[in-house]
Amino acid sequence: MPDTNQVTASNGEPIIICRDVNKWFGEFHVLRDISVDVAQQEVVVVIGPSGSGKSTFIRCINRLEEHQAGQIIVDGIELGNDVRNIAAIRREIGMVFQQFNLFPHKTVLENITLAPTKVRGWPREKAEAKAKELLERVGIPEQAAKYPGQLSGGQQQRVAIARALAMEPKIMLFDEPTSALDPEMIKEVLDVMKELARSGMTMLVVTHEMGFAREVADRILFFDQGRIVEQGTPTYFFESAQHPRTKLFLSQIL
Amino acid sequence: MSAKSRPSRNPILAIISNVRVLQWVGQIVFVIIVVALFSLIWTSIVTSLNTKNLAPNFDFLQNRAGFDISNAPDWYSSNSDYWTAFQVGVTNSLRVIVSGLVLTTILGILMGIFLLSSNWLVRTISRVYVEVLRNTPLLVQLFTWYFIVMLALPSFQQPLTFPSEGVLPIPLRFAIYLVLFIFLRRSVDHLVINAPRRVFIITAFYAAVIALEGAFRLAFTQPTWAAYYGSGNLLEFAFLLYIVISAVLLAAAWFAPQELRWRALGLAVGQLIGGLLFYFGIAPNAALRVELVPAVYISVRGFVFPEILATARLAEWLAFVSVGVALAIILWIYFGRLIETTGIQYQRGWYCVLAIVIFAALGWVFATAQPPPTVVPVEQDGQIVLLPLDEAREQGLLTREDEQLYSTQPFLFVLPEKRGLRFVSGTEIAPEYMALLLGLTVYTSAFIAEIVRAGILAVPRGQLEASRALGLTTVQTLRMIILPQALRVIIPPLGNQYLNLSKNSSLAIAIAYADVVLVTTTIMNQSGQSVTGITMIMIFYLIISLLISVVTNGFNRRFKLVTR
Repeated sequence: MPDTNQVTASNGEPIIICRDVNKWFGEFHVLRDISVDVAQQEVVVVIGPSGSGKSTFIRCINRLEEHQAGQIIVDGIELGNDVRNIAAIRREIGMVFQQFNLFPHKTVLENITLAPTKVRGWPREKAEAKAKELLERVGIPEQAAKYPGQLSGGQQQRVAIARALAMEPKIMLFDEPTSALDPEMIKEVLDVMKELARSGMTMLVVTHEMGFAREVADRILFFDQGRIVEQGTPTYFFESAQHPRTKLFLSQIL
Repeated sequence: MSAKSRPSRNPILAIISNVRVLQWVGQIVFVIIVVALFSLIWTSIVTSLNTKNLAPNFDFLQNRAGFDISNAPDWYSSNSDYWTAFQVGVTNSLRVIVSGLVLTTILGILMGIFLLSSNWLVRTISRVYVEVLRNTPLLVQLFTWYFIVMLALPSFQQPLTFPSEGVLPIPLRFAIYLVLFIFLRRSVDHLVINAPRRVFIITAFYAAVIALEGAFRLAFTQPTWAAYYGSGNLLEFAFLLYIVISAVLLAAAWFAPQELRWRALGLAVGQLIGGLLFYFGIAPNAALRVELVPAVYISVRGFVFPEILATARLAEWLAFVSVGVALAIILWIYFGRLIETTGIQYQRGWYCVLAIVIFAALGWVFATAQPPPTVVPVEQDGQIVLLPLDEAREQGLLTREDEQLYSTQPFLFVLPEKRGLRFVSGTEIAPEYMALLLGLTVYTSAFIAEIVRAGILAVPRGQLEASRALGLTTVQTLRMIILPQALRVIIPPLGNQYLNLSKNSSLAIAIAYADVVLVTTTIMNQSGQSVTGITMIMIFYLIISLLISVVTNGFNRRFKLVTR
């Protein structure tokens, strides 16, 4: 892994530590020796061609995928086979998916309050107050009583963000949050994410939105064939990337 | 394109080429044709039956039936009227349909979950089960159950009994195993699933138990092994050989590949511990001896189960139980509110169970506390005399009704008792009923299994991932996320299978089970009232089907998704 420039972290302590993480899907080697630290309050954007392992990487961090070799330590807890560790880590990590994955049989409010009441053990009143505050924050307070099927894609994704935030996570993972949206809805979701980044949330974002990466990221990781080929600040990455694969990728999308 | 209107010149043509008019005319013509056809059929049936003096009516239902029905309830005899016979048929059909629906649902859901199992063996077995049952005709399966399974059961004189009569020894060491198992489980609970120490301890425990029980088993049948138990002779050749073999095993385990080492070591050490415990007689050989009495008799004449009779004290006990149930409901609601407001996850289900159990036990104590009457009137040699209860019971003068009246227990649990060629107590179930019930249940469960599998697979994988990412447990995910969405897909086709089962129960006629079709066809043959008979059968199945539809539609509405 070429350390071509020093990594700037806004706050010293790393909250996610990955050491030589390897993963195979059958014969296919998806992740090869991934070693990355993410500092608190850092916004890391992961980009790369499709099939490069970037989604698999962030899904390993909350154990939606199992890594077969190496170490992942989140907030001081190592991800292993112990179910209690997995549960403890999942409580501290919020995740937003490409396909929103809202629960269609529950209202927006129920979607948001479900995990805080059942996992965190909050009183309903507290959970509902938090949900209303979050809906306000993502800009759709009037949709609380509706079902996900009655909302637009952009609104659904904003509810999904509110649902993840309701658990008051320390880390947020975004797995291509705007890829399934109409172009005019992308902005409303990105605005919410920018606001979240400014508020000091630690974020790992897999995305194809280069504008977002340039504006918000503290650091960009470029994945290719299961490896981190290059990483650096947005300025470094977009203006003086060294690796030929990075250059090729950038020339095709910019 | 310019819209060019071209008014028709002919007004009549304009009317008959109007779409609305054409639709109306079409419907009117259709109704006329249908009504005409039906009235034609009806009048021809009625006139032809009238000439044979068999006009459809319901008056014949009061006539004497004059035929016997096997395994009929005691309110029916051949002197009863046709209407009573029909009621017997309805009861028999309902017995099969209701039990069948319950059993097939349980079996089907289980098989459906097995179809999705990650265990290869379970998955393959359930797949074979489903494919075999789905792809053979139900009639053939019914014949198999009746002629090959039921009629091959042992004779009435030498029935299969369960449990078989005799003495069952329960070794005391089983209790020690249980305690040890719980203790060891707790001591390794904090370790990761694959941690070497955990693997070693658990494997060693199982190996020791298996080795010890195997040795006891051998000692039970072979005198040489019996001699080894507790022998403790250190110079015995067999013992030395065993120690050498164990040492070799230990060495082999030590050099086993990394991922197998601790498992292998656990096996080697565990079996050695088991062997030594046996050889030095440390493991206790004592056993509790339990005397067993047959409770279930199975023969070619059917199945006989113990009978549970209500006694005069049942009402008292039930009063206590209902207070317990009421309290449980109150607790359930109260703690439900408490969970909502405080967020603390009380185990309210357990509190409710506890409330019911406590009141049931209290009621039992209270109901049985009152002493039975000291003297009871019994009939002896044609006279009513007063005798002490125990004496009357000893002399066998108490009828079953007397026992129900004077028992101190809320229930009487009566074991089947055979006298001569029949059972004087116990609940009997005919082989025809059993064959039909099993056939319908098993056949329909194969379809339900596929429906359940499809329903669970229909829930997008993303739902599971979102639920996990939020930190919900597996049980919570299943109950709150997967199941409500799967049921939406499962219920409509499940309702269809319920309809199929209830209608397929008419195949009872093939194995001579007296269901509504068999009884009614007999009535039709005797009275000649075929139109009325068929109508009655159709009304019966119509009512059943409509009831099932109403219930499934109700559920369907409840699980419907709200969308734009």
